[in-house]
Amino acid sequence: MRRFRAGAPHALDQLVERYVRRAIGVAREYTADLDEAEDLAQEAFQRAVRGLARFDDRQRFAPWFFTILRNLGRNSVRGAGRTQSLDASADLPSGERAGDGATESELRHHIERELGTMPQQQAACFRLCEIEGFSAQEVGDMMGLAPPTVRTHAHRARIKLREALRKLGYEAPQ
Amino acid sequence: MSEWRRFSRLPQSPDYWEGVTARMQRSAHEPGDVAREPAAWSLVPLAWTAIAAAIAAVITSTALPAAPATGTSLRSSLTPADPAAAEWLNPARPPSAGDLLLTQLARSQ
Repeated sequence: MRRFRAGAPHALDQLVERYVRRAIGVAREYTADLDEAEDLAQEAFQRAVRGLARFDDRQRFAPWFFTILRNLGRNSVRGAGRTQSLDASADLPSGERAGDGATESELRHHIERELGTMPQQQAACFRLCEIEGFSAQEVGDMMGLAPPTVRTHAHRARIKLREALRKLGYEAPQ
Repeated sequence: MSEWRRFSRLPQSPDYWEGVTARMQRSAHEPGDVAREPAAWSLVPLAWTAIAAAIAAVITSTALPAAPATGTSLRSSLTPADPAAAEWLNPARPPSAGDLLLTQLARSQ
């Protein structure tokens, strides 16, 4: 950010490149639609650039940027009604039952549905750590949480998810 | 790698990430043309100073003519009807000790 302010032309590009995947990952916590998630991430980058005057060089960019993004996400959810885990609200195709020749898409469906029943931060920490593969530190920045809190949320979600999948007759992934 | 990774909701294709990154880089530059110029940053405090000075000038020019009228009416409304008390409050001619004593005697009678 300092280099961008100083006029380095490619500093902003590098910043976008570094954070785009995390940005869309966070945005997907607020919308099940990938296009909407991209729009949210894009808006967050634009606002970060417009808000450069308010950015204190002594602070880290990531927590500041993701605060902007989460606020945008919350506003979009408020505006459109809760759309998170939209996939999970879809009914299973008729004739398909859990544990009976279960397909990958069924398992995905059950995972999303179970995550949709958990507190949002818990589900988000699990998704971002375990499913998307970000570190606890990265997720901490993304969600505005301390890394130990992220690990605790992810751990609790994993236990709940394993139990729920076991009851449905699935063997939970390791 | 965790087995959970196969349930990712994020696209895995490198082409997708290349495309979306390029699009966001372009859009990030759009609102930032002014912000990118270091010279423009130095103008921001100047602009705020000019705005503040203009606001102060407007407030001063509208407030000054009203001030004497308000002060006069306030002073007259606070002046007691009692001539002796009014005399005491006259800053140009404070009452003498004799006046105070006579007034006190008159009130006690």
